[in-house]
Amino acid sequence: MIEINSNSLIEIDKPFKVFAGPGAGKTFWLINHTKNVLRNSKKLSSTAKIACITYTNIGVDEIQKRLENNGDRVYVSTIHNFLYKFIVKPYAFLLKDNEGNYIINLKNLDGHDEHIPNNKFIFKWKSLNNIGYIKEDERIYECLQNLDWSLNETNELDLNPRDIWRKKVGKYSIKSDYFYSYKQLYWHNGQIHHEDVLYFSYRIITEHPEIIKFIHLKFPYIFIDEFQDTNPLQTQIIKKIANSGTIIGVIGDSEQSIYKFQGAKRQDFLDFDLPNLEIYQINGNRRSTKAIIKLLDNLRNDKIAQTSIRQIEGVSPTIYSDNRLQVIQKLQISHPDLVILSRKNETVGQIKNSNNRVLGDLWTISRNLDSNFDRQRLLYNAIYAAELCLLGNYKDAARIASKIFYKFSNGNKINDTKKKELAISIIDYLISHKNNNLSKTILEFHNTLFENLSRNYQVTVGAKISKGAFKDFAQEKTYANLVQSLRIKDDTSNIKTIHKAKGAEFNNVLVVFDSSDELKYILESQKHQIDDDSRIYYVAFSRARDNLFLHVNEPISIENMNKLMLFGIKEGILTK
Amino acid sequence: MYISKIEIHNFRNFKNSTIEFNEGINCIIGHNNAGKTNLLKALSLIFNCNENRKLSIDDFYKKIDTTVYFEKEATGELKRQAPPKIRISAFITQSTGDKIDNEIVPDDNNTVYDWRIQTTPHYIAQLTFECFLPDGEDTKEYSECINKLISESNTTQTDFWALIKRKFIFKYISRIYCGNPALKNRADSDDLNRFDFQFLNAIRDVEKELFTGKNTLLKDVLRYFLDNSIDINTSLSDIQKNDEKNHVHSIFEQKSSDLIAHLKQRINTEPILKYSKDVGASLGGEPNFEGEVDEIEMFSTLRLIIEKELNIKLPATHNGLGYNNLIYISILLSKMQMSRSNYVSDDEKKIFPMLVIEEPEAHLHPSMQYKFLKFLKDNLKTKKEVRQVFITTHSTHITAAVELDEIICLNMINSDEFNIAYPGKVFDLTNETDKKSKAYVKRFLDATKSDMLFAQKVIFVEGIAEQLLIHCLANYMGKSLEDFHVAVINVNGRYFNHFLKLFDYLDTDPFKKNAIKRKVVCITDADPTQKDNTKPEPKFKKCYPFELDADLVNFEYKKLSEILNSLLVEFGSHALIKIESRTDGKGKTFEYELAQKNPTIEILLSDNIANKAELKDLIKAYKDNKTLSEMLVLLKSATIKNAIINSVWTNDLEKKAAIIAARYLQSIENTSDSGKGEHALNLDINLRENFQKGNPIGFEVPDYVINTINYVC
Repeated sequence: MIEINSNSLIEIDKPFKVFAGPGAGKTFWLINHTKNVLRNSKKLSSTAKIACITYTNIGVDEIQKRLENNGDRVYVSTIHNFLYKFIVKPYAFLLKDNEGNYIINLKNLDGHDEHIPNNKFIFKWKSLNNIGYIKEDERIYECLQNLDWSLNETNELDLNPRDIWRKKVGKYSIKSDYFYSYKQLYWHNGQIHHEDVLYFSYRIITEHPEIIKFIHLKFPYIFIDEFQDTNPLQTQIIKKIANSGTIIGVIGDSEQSIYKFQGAKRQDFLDFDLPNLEIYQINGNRRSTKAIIKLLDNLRNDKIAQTSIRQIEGVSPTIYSDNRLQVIQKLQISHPDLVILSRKNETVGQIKNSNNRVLGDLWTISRNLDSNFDRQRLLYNAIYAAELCLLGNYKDAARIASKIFYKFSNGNKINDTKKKELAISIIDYLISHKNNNLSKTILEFHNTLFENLSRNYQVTVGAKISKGAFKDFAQEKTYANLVQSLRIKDDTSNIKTIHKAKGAEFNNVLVVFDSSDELKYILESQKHQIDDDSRIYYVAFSRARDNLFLHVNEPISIENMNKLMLFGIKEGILTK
Repeated sequence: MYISKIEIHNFRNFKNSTIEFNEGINCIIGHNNAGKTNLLKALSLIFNCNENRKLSIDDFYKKIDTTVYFEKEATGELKRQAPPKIRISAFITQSTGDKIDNEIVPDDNNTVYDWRIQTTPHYIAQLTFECFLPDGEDTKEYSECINKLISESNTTQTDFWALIKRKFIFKYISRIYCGNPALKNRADSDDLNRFDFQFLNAIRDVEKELFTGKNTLLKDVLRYFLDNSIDINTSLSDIQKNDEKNHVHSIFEQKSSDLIAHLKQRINTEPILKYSKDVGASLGGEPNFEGEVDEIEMFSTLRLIIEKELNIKLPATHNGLGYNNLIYISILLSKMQMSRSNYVSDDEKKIFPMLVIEEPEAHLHPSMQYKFLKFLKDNLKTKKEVRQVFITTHSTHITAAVELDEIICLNMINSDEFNIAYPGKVFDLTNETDKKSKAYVKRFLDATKSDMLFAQKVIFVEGIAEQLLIHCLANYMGKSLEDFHVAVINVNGRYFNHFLKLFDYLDTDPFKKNAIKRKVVCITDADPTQKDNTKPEPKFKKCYPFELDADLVNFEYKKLSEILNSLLVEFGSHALIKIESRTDGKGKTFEYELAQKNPTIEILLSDNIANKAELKDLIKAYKDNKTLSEMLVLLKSATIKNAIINSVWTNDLEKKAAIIAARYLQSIENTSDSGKGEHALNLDINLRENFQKGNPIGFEVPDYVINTINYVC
């Protein structure tokens, strides 16, 4: 292990692994290293590129911005987008079934999406496998939504729910063999899910090893940030590419691994090895004040203490237990750029909408009640797109909204240009009517939107809400409820989940606990290492540069408060 | 990698054609209007990033069967919902040639990365240009318009195209797809731009394009080569190079500012500036003149000149067109070198320079054509500034200079039928005879014989006499070989079979399908032979036709030569190749046949012929209806005399004509080689004179020659 700092230049033609704690300046280092390779590498011909891979689109934008004028020499992307663009999209034509047909309907293939089970497909799948007798659709839905690929002991790919207990629906257990036919229904439609991108990439490069050579020539260097959240399939793909000669560099901090629920395996990062791999460690924390670092050091399982580079003592992290809304209001006045982080999506929704309503996962409920998938897609994609647009993410907004449209009412296909046009109209309509719509029931909102589409654009999507359990639901819940329940993937707002704040830094951070019970993840962090619970709060706290605030919604026991004070946390009281 | 194939659908004169290319040089030949330029245009639509990809109605294949666009399904819907589209697919294949390990060139890989349709054992990438009416409201309107035409029963081809031209062609869009075109993935223009498509068209006005530093092409090149001598100086380090460049630049700066100061000093600015004072412009500040000039601006003052001898300088515009063309091409090559070098940004570096030249022979003397071709070949092989060359040509000198394998022959059989031939690929190299034939053709396909590749029809002949006379004989039949683009090729012997392989077309055979589909006739001598079995080690020797079957006890006979026989066996029933000879046992050679057919015609006797007096006597005797024995008295050849006496022929008139023919042939054969040529030449003159007079003496063309000419004309 070689100790370096964020300005150090390392040898460019050896694979590397860099351990870097929060605030170590690893993005800064990665940018410097990338520039160093660009300037000095003999392996980059005029068409070859460096791939910089990071975990979120926000991270991508950040690196892109900091690289400035690299022309096209650096390709910055998330792992899924990278694999999709350079393996799945160009080479999926190599994957054929026994009849010689493409496994994916390539004609309709257009990116990869979140897996939202389609009722129509579930129904079809059940009859295909003669399992119509399994009635608990909600459980089936949850089981299917949880599906993911994994490598088994013999290096074959299995498809099962991540939580294996979900296979059991009531008294029946769904056979693993059935899941594949479920996925096929999507693929035959040209739809693939995020997790399928890894699956197809792995298959393509395993069955057609020449592709690895092509990738190697195009990308003599691939650097991957946040590698502590890699999953085994991804690790295998990276290793295969490394074997072809591409210089692989991975960067991460196992203490910040928080995606176990999505199949991430932090041990993979610790174990990651390649021939000639150099291991580096960037010490120091150039982000936070000494007071915050003190708290952070106490939470690290590996007990590696970070030295403060800023050398500013700073204010001790402060914990509040007053009324949440009041705390937020007060802090927002004293710290206008305050970023609020919470573990649960539900909490984020409540804070965003300044209420304490417990809505549950409204979208899943809605989809379960409604057999009309097209209607659900219209609702979801339209509302989601409008919210993305309000956050400034126009590109994804347009992409998602255009997926609503397929055919005109008269049956004619809608071409791509027209789809884009319709997408923009619908987003525009939703944004300009948002204030009006917020208080409307889903029923009222949907049926107006439906009529508007068919009257003004000659497009029929789904159907009017007219009867059944879904009608009851739609009459009861409002547009505002649906917005509150949305999970936005690359949330750039100041209120978001901790997972979405990964890799980011903010001046002032308020971390909202869902219950005071969660304090145990801080107080007894050693006990909670198997799951990500403690690390999640470690990630949350380490986002803060200057001020860190905590909030629990119940009074803190004196015992707990004493313990907290040992970590350098002081109690805050709202002054009227 | 190299462009290995192009498929052209509905474009100009290509209905549906596939043309295969070689790595390296591709020499595209074909008669006028065969589509050579259109083929280059098709390549340009894909690979030339400066090409205007908007097409017009005239870019469509003219003979598209438009009736299908008026046909309806049982449901009343149109069978074709969209109007015709143009599609051109180019295939790019990994080079497999000289590299054993099949190493992939990184830049090639990265350029065609997502264009592939095959990945192993070698990759193939595909690009497809399509020009079509996009699906949507426009196609709906199109359907309505067609239905209207149907209801008005205006459904002719003209109606159809008029509609497209008036309402739809400007709504057509062009796209370049990569990979499987059905998937409609558009090719990235950055990747397409890696191809450097340098096109020199036939009608190039080099003077306009070049020769002053104002021209951007020349400017670019000059800029690139500015200080190039420092760059290529290997004894200097990078830092030293930079220092040296800065040094020479500062010298330039100093000198140019001196020059400007000098210039400024000579201008009396006062009167000019006075006005500005008067009108009040100077209130905003005192106007003055200032200026600087950099190297690039100074290029504008440079002109290309030609220094013929010491102190004689001519502007390039006064140079010959041919040389200027070469200069133009050389500057273009310099630019291509530049586009691949570090001088341009990595992102814009060209990785596949292709040179596309229409008729390089324009203004070039044959020997210069040869030199130019040799240069291109060397460049491809060693310097690699150009990676693939496409040239169209009408020059037999160029086809003679390139390899047989590099020739692609666009052959318009009739207005509907197209045949694309690859003369180098008709030979099955696992077969010894084919191997020999290929070597033979390569060896003897010189500039004169190359004509067989260009002409629409070919007559192969054995010798100089046929070659010279056949044109005139055609005239006697009221025909002209030139009008029908017939090439008469003298193979100087009987090795027709090697050349015939180039034309032995058979669509079901993997080799013969590459042959040129073209009418070909071989005129060959019957050359009967006999074998005297009483002699030790008997051999077949040439004989006269009237000797055949005379002594069946001691002799064996063949009325046709070995070669003619085998030709007849091989091509006797060929669809396009005809073998013509006199095969009834009465024929011998071309000259023999001329005389036998025209025993009374004295103009056959040229001044150079031996035994002229004797021949004249024989002709006179024949004319005067003298008996056979009377004629035999006049005959001074004992061989012929004995043969006639012993002949099994019964018709005296035939025998008399045979005497003249045999003695005539003998006399020609006794003259020297140059004499024979001269005889043929004189004979040609005599026959032409007679023809111009209206053939008063009644000269007749031998039957098999008539057949030959009728076949090709």
